[in-house]
Amino acid sequence: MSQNPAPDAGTPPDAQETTQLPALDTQVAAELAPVIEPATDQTGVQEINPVWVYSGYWGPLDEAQHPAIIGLRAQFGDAIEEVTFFRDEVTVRVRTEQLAEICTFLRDTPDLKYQMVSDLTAVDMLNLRSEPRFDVVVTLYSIPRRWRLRLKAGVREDQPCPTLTTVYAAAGWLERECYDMFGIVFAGHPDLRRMLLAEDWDEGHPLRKDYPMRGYKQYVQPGFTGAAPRIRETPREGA
Amino acid sequence: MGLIEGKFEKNVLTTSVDWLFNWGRRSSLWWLQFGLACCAIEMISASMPRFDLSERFGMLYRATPRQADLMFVAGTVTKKMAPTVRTLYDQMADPKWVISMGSCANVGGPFDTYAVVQGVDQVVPVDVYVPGCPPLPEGLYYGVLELQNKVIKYETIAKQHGVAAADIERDQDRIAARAAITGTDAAIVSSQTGLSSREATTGLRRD
Amino acid sequence: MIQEAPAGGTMQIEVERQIGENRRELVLNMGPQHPSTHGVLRVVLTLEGETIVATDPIIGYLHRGVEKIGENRRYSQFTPWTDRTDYVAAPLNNLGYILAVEKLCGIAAPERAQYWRVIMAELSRIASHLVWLGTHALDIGALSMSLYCFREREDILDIFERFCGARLTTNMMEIGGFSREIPEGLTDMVEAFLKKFPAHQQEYSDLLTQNPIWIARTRGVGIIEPEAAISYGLTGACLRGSGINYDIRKAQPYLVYDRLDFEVPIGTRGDVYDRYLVRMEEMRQALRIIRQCLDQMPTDGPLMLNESNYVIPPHATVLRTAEDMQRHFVWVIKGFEAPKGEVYMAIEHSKGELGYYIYSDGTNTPYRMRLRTPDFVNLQVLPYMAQGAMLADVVALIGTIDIVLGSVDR
Repeated sequence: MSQNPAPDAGTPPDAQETTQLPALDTQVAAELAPVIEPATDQTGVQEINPVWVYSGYWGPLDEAQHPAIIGLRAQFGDAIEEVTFFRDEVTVRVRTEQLAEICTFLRDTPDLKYQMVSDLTAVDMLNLRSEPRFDVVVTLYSIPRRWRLRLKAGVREDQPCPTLTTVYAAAGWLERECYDMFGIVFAGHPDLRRMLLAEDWDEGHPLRKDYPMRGYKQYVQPGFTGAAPRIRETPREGA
Repeated sequence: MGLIEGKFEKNVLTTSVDWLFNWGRRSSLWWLQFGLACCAIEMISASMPRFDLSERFGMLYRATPRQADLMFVAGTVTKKMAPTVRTLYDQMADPKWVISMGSCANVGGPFDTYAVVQGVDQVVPVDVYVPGCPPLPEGLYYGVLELQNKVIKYETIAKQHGVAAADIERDQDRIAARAAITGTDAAIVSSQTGLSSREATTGLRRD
Repeated sequence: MIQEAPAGGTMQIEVERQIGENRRELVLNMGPQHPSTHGVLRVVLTLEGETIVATDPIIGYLHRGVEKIGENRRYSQFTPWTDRTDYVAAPLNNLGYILAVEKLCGIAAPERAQYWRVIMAELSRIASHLVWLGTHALDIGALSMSLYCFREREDILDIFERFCGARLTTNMMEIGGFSREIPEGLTDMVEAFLKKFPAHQQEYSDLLTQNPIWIARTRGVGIIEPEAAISYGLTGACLRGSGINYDIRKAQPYLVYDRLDFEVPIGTRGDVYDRYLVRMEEMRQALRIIRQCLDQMPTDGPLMLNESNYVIPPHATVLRTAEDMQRHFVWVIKGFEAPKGEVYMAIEHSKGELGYYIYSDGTNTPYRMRLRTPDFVNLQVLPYMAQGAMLADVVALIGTIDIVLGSVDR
């Protein structure tokens, strides 16, 4: 809408004697006003206020009231670096060296009992921050309390992360997949080898941010010296 | 078949005998049960009561490639799986055909990533491409019927002339030369390279 | 640059070794192409006679890089790839992804859309269990079960095709609800299915549940202790067959499951037979849920949350008004920018807990898209179950975990 730099601040713009610009605008606007038919289809019949409803599935969204955070801070003190709340989720950033002890504590405390690993994965933070490069993300679930909890541990590129296979058996394959996709070495893992890619895959770790989506090499059939020609050659570089 | 293959001049007798062979082959294609991904479920649905691919066309699925002469490559071929696909193709006995089912087997499908071979024709020679993601079982029928139309045109016992004959001779010379260079038997070389007189319809070339 | 790939691509496996006076171990490869492995799974078995000493499942033959694709697609574009992970229950995959995106954006679909989502999810659950039952029974030897199960499945696929146009890879859920009205005749098709299916399921139950051969092959085989089940992170029927009551629809309800009345079947012994009974009962409970949804659903009401920025504008106003046309254009071409943050949304998939972890950096593509698929975590328990089992049990064990390799490998 055009701002009318009125010399007279008291009167509303359309009541005073108009300069050329506003009159033309309103006139043009009146001529070109679109005729909107009422929508006759069924969507948009009711007014709905979209709002995310707090569900309580991760516990109280308050550091001073969440039993897991209280227990962790009491037991581990400054190994708990940061606590974030988003939607209804609770994320605790912990120091990497004590990740296994923290998980053992969460699993064994009778009041908390986070006995189940929902997910163990990693995020490559290359585009968002410089150090540490990876964030290992562990999502735990407590069956008696029906709560989830997320732990995050920052891992540098050459730094091994302590394994959780001694705490949860589910971590075996989840950590192998992390190693395969990101190259994060889990110290103490009994069987760390590639899982989703071929065992002799030598082209790197695909889910890193600097890995192109199409990969580096085209497929060459074993025993042949070159790749088969394609009808239309698509460029190899670039994601 | 080696005794009578390509030995006779074309006349009404050999074309009738050829037609008989081809009719037998196309009416009883035994397919290798080889489903990789989502298209496999549609392939299974196609052989189940509503669509009934198996019984109506004389097709039967076999779990072992030694007894199969048609391979449906149904699903995405990844770089990890591709050598296995080639091994299975090599283990099938001639005459053999490959139907590439679905977009992933045709051109890599929606997965243009580091781990996927962009089309199974980079690995095995393909006879019929069936598009779809996944193709409806009716689409798979269409592919099979097209393959049957292709099979009926083969010339087995008639002698080849012209360009086809030159192709066959050149391939055989090539196999013999390679065998001489590497010091192995010509039969081993031909099975390794997968060259046969019933050659591929794709541009898969080797040197 | 094109280089020569390492020759082979197969693994060197030592085949037979002597380990004692009169004991020898044989390493048997149950290769990627096998009629009973439900896809491309390789299991390297170490046998001593007929007894299994060790198992090593090798996966990755269908790894297609879906998570990497997720980092390069807008939120509204990624739904087709979720279909192709677990391809026997595609609507459930879509549902998990859409609920995660809706949680990230802080929106929820209107009520009628939620009821229809539940109906489609439960139909998909039945379809998935039918494939499981068909292939599981086929592997163990009951060949006719596969024919019956796929025949029923065709009815469900007809409903999907009517609803969204595709049988298998449906892409049916959208952010904010459904953008097109429910086709007419669909409710009748669902009602007809509800009338017809219980009799068929009774047929399957009559064929298998009291069958002495079935019981001999499945009872006492593949027992998972409850503590081991929890430690291995199992979810779904594998966990409930061992006696643990964890069903996300009851523990952390989403959509309208808190208004619906259904039971969660729990097993006692944790063997293959109990998991079979659990899944059969889940099919019956799914019918019950669909019945309640059809009864409770509001008869009119919007199917799409149109006022939100994160949702595609409705078709009619897009064609008639300039604002909505511009909004549609921007939504499709550029995509909406999701709020910054991370969410983990888990739903009860037919195979277990399907979780989507989306880390968003405030742009129109996710920064990290992680699919926590139930099969991947469940398959890990195969060596545990196979310890001491017989060779012939391996197919029963692979079938009872209920894997779909697209979901395992992503």
